[in-house]
Amino acid sequence: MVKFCPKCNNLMLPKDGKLKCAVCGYEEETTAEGSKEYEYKEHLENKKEKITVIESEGLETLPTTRIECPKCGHNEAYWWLQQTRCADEPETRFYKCKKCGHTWREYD
Amino acid sequence: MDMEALKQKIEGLDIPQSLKDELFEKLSKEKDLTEEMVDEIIDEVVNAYRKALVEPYEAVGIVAAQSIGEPGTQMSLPYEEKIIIKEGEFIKPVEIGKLVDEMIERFGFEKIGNSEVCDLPIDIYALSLDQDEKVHWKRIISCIRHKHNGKLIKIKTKSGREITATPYHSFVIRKDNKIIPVKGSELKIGDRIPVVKHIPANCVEAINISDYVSGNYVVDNINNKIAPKINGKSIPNNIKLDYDFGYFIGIYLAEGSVTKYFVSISNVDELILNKIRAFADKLGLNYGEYDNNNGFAESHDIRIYSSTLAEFLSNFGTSSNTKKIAEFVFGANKEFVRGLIRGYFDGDGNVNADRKVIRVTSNSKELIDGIAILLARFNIFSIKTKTKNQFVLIIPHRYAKKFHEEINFSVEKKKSELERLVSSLNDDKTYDSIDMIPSIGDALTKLGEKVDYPKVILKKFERKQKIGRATLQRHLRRIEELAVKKGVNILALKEYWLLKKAVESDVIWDEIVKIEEISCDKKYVYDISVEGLETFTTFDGVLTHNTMRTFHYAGVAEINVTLGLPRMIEIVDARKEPSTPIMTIYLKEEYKDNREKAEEIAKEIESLTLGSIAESISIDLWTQSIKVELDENRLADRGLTIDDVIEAIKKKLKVKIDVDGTTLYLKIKTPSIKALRKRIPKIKNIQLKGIPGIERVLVKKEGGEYVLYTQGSNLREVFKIDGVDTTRTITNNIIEIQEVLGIEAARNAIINEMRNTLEQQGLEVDIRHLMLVADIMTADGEVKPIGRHGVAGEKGSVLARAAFEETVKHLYAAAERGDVDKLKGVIENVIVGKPIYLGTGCVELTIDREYEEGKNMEE
Repeated sequence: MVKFCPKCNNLMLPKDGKLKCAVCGYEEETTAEGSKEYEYKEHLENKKEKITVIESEGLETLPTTRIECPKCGHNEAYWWLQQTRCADEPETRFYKCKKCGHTWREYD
Repeated sequence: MDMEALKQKIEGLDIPQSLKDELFEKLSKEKDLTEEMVDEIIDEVVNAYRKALVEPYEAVGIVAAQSIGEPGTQMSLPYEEKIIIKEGEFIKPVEIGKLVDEMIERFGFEKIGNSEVCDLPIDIYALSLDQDEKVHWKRIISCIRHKHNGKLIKIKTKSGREITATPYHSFVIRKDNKIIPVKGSELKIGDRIPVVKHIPANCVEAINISDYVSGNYVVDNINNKIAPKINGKSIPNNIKLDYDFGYFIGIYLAEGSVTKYFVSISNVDELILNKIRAFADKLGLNYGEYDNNNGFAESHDIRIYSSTLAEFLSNFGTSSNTKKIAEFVFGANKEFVRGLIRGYFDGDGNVNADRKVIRVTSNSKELIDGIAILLARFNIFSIKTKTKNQFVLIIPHRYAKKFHEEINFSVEKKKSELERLVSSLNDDKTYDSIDMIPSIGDALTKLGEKVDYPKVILKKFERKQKIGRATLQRHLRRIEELAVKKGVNILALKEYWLLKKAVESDVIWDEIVKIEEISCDKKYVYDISVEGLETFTTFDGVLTHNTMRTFHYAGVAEINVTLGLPRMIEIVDARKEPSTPIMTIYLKEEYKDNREKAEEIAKEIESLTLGSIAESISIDLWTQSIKVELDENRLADRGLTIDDVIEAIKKKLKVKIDVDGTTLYLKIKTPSIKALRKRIPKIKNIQLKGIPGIERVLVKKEGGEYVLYTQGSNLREVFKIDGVDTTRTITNNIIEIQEVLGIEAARNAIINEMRNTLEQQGLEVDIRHLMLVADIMTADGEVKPIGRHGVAGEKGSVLARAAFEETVKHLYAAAERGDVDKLKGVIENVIVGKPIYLGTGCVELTIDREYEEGKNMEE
């Protein structure tokens, strides 16, 4: 625990091997030298781990359907939906050809 | 070595308990191992285990879709699909849905993505195919169920087996002499999937009748009797599953029916009738005999009076439409099953030596399916077909010999016909279009060439890429003989063992003849996860594969990119830096195929700051300093030492550094909390290695080469790295391209970026529009934004600029300078109310009206 000044209840900080009240100057001997209480840990984000290597090729997680690609004529395409217009309109269907990667839209 | 010491040694290892147990069991059996040898073995095992561990970032095996939680990409079986499991000694088919639901109810579940997963604490086994193409019982690790999206595919094979699964359920196929998994939706007609031919079984020797009847019965365990409570005859309760009992049940399946009080069997063959009488006598039951000719043929009925027996037999179905194999039979000993099959074939089966078939017909599909599985116990493979309203099971003549040896008939007529069939068969000439081994690669050719086997034959099979099992066996035998003669050691060749394995496999590679899409209205679809190769068998004998546990990405393999309209705005605004700068770095020829080298380069590029590699950074009030803890291993992984770090800090900051092991204390001249805190961000951002600005690098295999994707961009520095292919590497930072590669490259970059952004949105814009924009933006030799600070702010006309933005500023400035506006543009003319200089408005000729009107004609 961090110590508080018994006189004025303010925070006591270490100084020259003693604890000193930052406000009234009350000093106290202490044995808690080097304790973790008087360390402010910095938050460290995005620690670097190993380099990520993705071996598997053509990893697609989208569902597919049978539809002809207008560009290459391939018969299978990935699809997803997106609400591109106002909420009372139907969603826009997006298709992406499995073979040539061509993307196109379909409206209702 | 002393057992206790060994046990302690193994206990102390950092490996899972099951592995410890196995290791101890194996080592304790070896008597003459020295301590060194034991240590070496243990080391090897631990190392192998560590190697097999998966890092949280690593991609393993087939990446399944569940990790992303995408609907419609789940791979499972519908509720009704039956799988074969073994629980204790009992082998039984069970609906996968029933099994999973039951287990989840009993043991609860854990939610993983969209799936409900239940890790089984009890031992249930599934029939699984291993890489050695043998079938083993493997423990089911977990049961999985999840909601589905309605579509299922139904696959039918040449031998009449069927399986229904979601399109993403994976199956296994044979490729390059290996068993590999493949998505259901990628299977096509003509592909071959494995079907079990042989089922290893534990043997149930005896059963208690009381387990299979539910009515009011009195069981007398001392005298081994079971009888109905109200005046009924008793029969033995614990009954041995022997040949005779099996035969009786077989006959019942073919010819029997039950009512509440008696079992009736009709047949005309005296031999069969005698066997039934003998069986009834053995149980001590009364029976009556009736002749009946109410049908189209004369027949003889035997009625055995016992309600207990009648109820027991109803486990096998009560009429010809509902006949089935009771569950306990699948785990019963071979003699019993042999009796059952013979009884059934004696009743319903027939054999035709001229047409070379053994077949049996039934009204019940379930019965035919069951018999097919039982035949698999004897390594006999059967084909299922369907006539108008009957189900037919055909045993191909290739298995006639086996059938003759293992089962045979009792009925004289059938017996002699079978013998005629068997003797007419020439072993070498049998052709079985179903039992073909696909994808043998060049193994046979390679092997054959070693012993100078006729090339024509070898080439033929290499071209066809499939070969009948019997044919392969024959050729293999001849190659073996040749090898002995010529003294070639083919046993050392891996091709020999590959083919040997294929010949001896427990499965038949059955050809797919039909794939159809069907819909399903059940709420859930199901899956199980099995040890080892994760394959399991359905009731129909089709082996399928599960991939539930073989993915791990933990969501880190993503690089965030701005797309769509925001990105378009970014491009035309010619921002100094895009909100998500990314680079695609291609590697030079020598580097691009090598994973290690690609990783090396990635490490060199990825920037490393003190904040990203330190274990912790904190302000220590006792010592009035900033404490930085480091991890030597992590530093070493990036090729850094503590001294490197100290040097880097000293370069950036004026601090005194005390080193205490791997901990650094940074001291400043006039310490205070405020002064220390002020320095923290600077310390965090001290660059230790890599290229500034590149926060993260991802290595991805694409089109056969390793490509690096980075978050953050620094084209100039990246180009300096050895191994980077500067001709293909790109960034999405257009200004950077202009600075490094020049204005023409920037123009191209603008066009490409805009085109890609629009394309991803599925929008089609003619490239000439984009070229026009790019040209205007780059016409002055530097990339200018479209907008008041760029293209629009530099128009020649004062009024046009004033009409766009900052009206007052432009008008003041024009007034001050005395600018002239020629009123050539559209906007200017709209403002002053004149026709615009376009179309008819741009004609500057005037007409001499008087001349036109003919006034001056006389002159």
